[in-house]
Amino acid sequence: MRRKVASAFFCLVFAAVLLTGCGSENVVVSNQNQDEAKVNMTFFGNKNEPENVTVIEEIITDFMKENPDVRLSYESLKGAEYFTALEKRMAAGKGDDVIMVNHDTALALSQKGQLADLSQLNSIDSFTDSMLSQMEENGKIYWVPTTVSAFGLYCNEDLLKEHGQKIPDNLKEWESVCQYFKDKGITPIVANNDISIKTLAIGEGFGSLYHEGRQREVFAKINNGEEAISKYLRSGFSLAKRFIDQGYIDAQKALTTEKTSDDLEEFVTGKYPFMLTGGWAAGRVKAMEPKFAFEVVSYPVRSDGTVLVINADTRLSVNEDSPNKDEALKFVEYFTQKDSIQKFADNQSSFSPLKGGSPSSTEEIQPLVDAYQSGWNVIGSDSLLELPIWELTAEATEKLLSGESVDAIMEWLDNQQGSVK
Amino acid sequence: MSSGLWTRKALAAILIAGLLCFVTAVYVKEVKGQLWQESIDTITESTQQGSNALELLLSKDFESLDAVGSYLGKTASDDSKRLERILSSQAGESISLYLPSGICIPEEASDTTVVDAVKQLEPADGVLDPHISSVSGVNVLDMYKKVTFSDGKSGYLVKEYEVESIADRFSLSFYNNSGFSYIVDRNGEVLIRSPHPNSNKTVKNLFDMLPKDENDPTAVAQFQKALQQTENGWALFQYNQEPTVFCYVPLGHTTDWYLISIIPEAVISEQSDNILMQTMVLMAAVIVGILVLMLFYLWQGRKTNRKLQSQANYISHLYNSIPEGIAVVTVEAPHRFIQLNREGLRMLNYPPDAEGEAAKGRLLSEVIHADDLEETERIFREAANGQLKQTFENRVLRDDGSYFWSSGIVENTMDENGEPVLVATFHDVTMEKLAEEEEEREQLLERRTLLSAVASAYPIIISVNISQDKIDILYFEHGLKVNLGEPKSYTDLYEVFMPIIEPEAREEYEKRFSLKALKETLGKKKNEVFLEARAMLMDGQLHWISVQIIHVENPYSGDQMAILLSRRVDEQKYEEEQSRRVLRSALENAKAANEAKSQFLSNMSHDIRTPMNAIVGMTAIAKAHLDDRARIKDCLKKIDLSSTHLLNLINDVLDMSKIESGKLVLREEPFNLAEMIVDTVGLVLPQANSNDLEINVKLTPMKNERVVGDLLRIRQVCLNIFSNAVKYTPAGGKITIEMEQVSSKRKGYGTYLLRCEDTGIGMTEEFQKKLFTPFERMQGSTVSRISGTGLGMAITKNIVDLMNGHIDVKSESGKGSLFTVTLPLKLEEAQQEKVPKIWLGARTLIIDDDQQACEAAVEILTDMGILAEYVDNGRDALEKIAAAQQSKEPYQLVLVDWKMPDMDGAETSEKIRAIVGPEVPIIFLTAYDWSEIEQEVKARGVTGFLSKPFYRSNLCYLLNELDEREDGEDTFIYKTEKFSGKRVLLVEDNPLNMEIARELIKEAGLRIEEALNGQEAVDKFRASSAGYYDLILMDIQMPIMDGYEATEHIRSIELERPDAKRVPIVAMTANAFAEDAQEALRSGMNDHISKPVDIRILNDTLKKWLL
Repeated sequence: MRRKVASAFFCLVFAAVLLTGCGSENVVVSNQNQDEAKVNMTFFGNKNEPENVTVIEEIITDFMKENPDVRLSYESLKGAEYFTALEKRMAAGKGDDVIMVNHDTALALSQKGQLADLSQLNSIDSFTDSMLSQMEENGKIYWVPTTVSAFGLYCNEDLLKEHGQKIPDNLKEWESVCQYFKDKGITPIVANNDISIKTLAIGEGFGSLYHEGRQREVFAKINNGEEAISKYLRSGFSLAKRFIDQGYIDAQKALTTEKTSDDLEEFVTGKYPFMLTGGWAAGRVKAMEPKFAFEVVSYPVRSDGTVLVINADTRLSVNEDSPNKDEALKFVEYFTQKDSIQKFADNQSSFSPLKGGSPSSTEEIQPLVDAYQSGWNVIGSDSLLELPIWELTAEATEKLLSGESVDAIMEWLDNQQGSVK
Repeated sequence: MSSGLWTRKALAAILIAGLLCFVTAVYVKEVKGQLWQESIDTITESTQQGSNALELLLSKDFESLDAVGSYLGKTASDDSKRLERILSSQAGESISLYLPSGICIPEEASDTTVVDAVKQLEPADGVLDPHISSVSGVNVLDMYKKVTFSDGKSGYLVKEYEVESIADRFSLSFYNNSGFSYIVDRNGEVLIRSPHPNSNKTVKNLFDMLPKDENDPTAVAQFQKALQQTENGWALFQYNQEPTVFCYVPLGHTTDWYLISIIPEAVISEQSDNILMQTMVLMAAVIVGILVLMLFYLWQGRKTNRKLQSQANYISHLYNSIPEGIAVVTVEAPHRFIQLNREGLRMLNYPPDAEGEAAKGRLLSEVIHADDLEETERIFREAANGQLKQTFENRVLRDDGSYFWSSGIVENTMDENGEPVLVATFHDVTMEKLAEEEEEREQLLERRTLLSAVASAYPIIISVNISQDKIDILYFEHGLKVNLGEPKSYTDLYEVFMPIIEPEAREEYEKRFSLKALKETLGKKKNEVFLEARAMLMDGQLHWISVQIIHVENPYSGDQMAILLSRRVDEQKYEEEQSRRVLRSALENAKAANEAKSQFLSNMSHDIRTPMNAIVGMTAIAKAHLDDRARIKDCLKKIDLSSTHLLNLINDVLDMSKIESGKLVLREEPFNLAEMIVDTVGLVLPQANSNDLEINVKLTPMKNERVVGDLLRIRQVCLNIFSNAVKYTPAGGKITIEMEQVSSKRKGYGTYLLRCEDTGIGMTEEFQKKLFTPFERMQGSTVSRISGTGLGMAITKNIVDLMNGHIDVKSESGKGSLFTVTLPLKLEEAQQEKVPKIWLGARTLIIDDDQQACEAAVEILTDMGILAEYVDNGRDALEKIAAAQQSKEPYQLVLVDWKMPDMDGAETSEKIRAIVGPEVPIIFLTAYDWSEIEQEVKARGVTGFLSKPFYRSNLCYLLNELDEREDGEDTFIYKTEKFSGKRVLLVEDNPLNMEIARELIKEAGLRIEEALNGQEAVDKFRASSAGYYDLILMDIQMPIMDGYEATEHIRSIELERPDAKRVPIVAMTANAFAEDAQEALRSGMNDHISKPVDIRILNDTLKKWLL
């Protein structure tokens, strides 16, 4: 027994000595540099608020997990700066692999042949028909939308309640409430220098076109110069002008109010009953002041109802000249997967451009959801219109806020239409 | 082991484990801290190196800018072309010169941001924060260096870097890409971000990465402050839902930038955790190992302890339970007890609960018997000296003072402490000792007993060794009257006997007893040599002596051993002679008995033939004289006599046979003993009369006449005795029969004494002895003339014996005999017959010359309540009667003896009648058959008859009869016509018997139907209507179906025949024994009549069942 125990003990000691490597002291070990990424890609976008980029961050991270050979870095610039930088980069041949575009840049870049055709992406078929109608251009697709943004009228429920006012359902009611607050010495509407006025003008101007289904026809006429754009936008800008003149909008202030940033800060002060801006900012507004009660409704610009202005938004394109075009396409495809889109659209308080996409879970924009599903929808920057309408109306807004007359602005617009031609 | 010790051990183990755990925890904490610090240091180090690398790059470019600047400095600021040339030749791409005028050389590279910045720049060199180039739209950063031109004006040389390219070069990664780094400014704005997979690719400001709700704002503020103050260090914040380390290192003097490394804490900890985990595992393994070892040790210890304990218990149990005393004793003298086991203590009589130490210190010498002490001490001394095991046997003193024998072994050994001790095991051998002594005694006794037993028969007992011709005289008594001298050898002894043996036997003596002969024969051919011979002994006479030599088994040697026995056998010889004689006489007796039997058979033949001869002869004579009525009557009478004799003979023989075979069964029935005696005397009376014998019957008044017993057998006894007396008394002789009741000690029993004395031929004394043996008859001329079976007295004796009685005979040949029979009989509980009231107090006169008889009668009558007087002659009687007739109390009853001297009974009666008139009954007393004189005396005034002797019953009977007569009833008259109309089924297979029966029954006026066997009887009964048969007379032994079976069948015809149970069935059979009668009753019959049929019995029976 003892002998057995002793022999077992020595066996164990011997094994331990072998395992701990009592033999040699000199070792050479070569490590494979496995983690070296083969592809370094950049993604340039205009989403840069921390709240807005978290989902982009997630998507990029997940994509990189799925594609360990790829490293993708995201760079963002805010607002107009972005498009300037984008243009310069693209012009300088230093364009990023994946970029965010809008109607106008896409139009410009695609015309220069700088955008890759995305029609072969697997995710293309998932888009709704209305989106596809926007995306397709001569059988090619240069951009894909990741959200459908809606523009809405933010209503300060507490304030309205306090003053015994209610959320307006048509233009008359809206003007009446505005007048009420104007009389109380409160500027009723917070507006920014970009989307507030132009979406209001577009919504009012194109509302009946879309409602009647004449937009393709009319836009074709505008495109070939048969009809002037002013014919359709005059009423919208006139409405804006009236609001400014009535003192419902402080034009001076709006001129320096950056969209979905300064305007939000103003609105959450609770001093204003209304704000005109993107519905996607609802989440941000809520995050800024969780106790602030508000609701976002479609624009009550018709005498008998409202108009919802939407846009195929956060459009992604791939740089045709990208050395990593395949990976870039892969990323866009990844981004436009149903899960990613849903996550992103929800985060943006927007709607999914995909078929069967669930509406945003943000409670405050539920009226927009209802309107989107059933009402008068106007596409803010319809790609059928071969005009940089988004940019033109922005400039027109600036002019309006600067005090130019509607006639002058209309003339300028028609000139711009002509010059584009 | 006690539980406390286990508890302490367990506690110690737990304490050690706890301590180990504590030490491990401390160690872990310490190591963790150290590892953490090391990791942080490593990260800081890496970050620092990253920062250094960037700084190094910038410094190089600064140097090159310096070089270019020095060229440019020699040129005037307004010499654009020269400046442009120098730039294009000296400076590389992306280096531009910004002049104070706002002009940029080359012009196309003019970045508005830089232009604006240059206007405000203070330091001579530095880095501009990344911004979007207004030229390319790309994110760039710029390094600038002040250049002073020859004209004294200054401008800035600016080198532009695309941030992306720098980021690529300064991408730091840690811990297998888990960590990453940023370059941020003091406000946390991300300036350069590495394209690291785990890095945040979107957030603009470092602090935006820290969720406000997950991180302490104070800590965040502290972090911000630290960055503002250009400190380096690390911070721990929640990022991506996990604690993350932010390690910050400022980049150096040219910038206010920081290189920040961001690594999840888990990643840093993972390594240390792994190490710690391994350490913990190791420690745990060590602790577990220790615990396992400890448990193993404890288990092993416990097991060993248990084993030791059970061994100890086992040994202790063995030590105490083996039936051997074990004493542990000191080696040194004086030896003392150290310990005694339980058995030892028990043997020494210590109390049962004494411990092993009880005897400790006690000296061995105290307990050893003084006689054995020395030897015992010697043995113990030897054992102490190591001389192997020593056995001892000694007496040991018990506590109660008695001794017992012990036997055992002592040896030197070591105790549990290794000290030498003596261990003595011993056991009580007292019983064996005693048994041994007893055996020795018994052997001695046996030997002595044997010797004396043999010696009592043999005065000389000598042990002989034949092989060695040696002898050993074991016993010698002079009674043999032989002078043995002093023989040395067997041969000497042989020689001593030789001369005294009678000469005729010497040859045989030599042949058998010479040493040579013995050697050849003894133990080989024979086991014994024997001789009986006459020898001349010392008294000078010839005596029979026997000499025998018996071979003795010798298990010890091959020597031929033997025992010589010799004695005188004169007496035996004599007894032998005697017994031979007895045998001879027995033989003769047997022969005689045989002869007696032959004689008996011959007698029987004769005895049977004689009456048969009479019957046959008389029948022939009667046939020959059919017309002679008187002759035929005579013949029939003789035939009757002979057949009666023959019947008796047969009965006797059968009785005897039955007695001898033990089959005789006594019945118990009530009867009147006195009546029985008188009746029985009546049976022999005719013969006595014919032989001219006088019979006197004296019945002493008995207290109990009615007894219970076997009437038949008692009558048989009496009849035998009486008829013998009649038989063996010559004419003119006298026979006296007496009966009396003597007192009995047994309650409910009476003892009755019957004496019968005659003046007959008597018996010789010799014959008296054989009187009661069967087949004996008095021989002699007189006797041979007398017929008899010779069985009578034997039967009598046997019956009396069976009844626990006694029979005795006194006789003298020629002078008569006296038989005395004593019988104990059960008394009948029934009351004595009652005397009719009318006779109570009636005055009665008895006239008899026999004074004794008169006194007895008076006594009985007085006892019955009747006034009785007597006179011994007729003349006095007449006087008395006449006198009484005149008085107020005349005699109401007169009893007159027939035979009286002077005036006989008839005459007296006639005269009395004349005096008393017709009313007073005059009863004629007679011991004789009165039939012949009946008519005559009745005519002379006698009313009735009373047989002598008197006894209560017959007197009662008489009185009752007289009473009834006075009542005018006559029940005595047997009216046969009463049977008329009754129907009897007679079942009989034998035609002759059938005829006899038919005739006899016909006499009674019955109608008879016949059946030839049981079956027929059953059929007839079954066929008949209910109540058709009034009686069935059933033979027993019949073919087809016997009487018993037939009866059972009839009785079982039950359902349809209610009379089947009731109809009287009477056995009429030659199966005449008492048990036959009982068997008949058992089978369902009502009564039993034996054949030959006695007509009177038959009539009684018919009357009993039919009337």
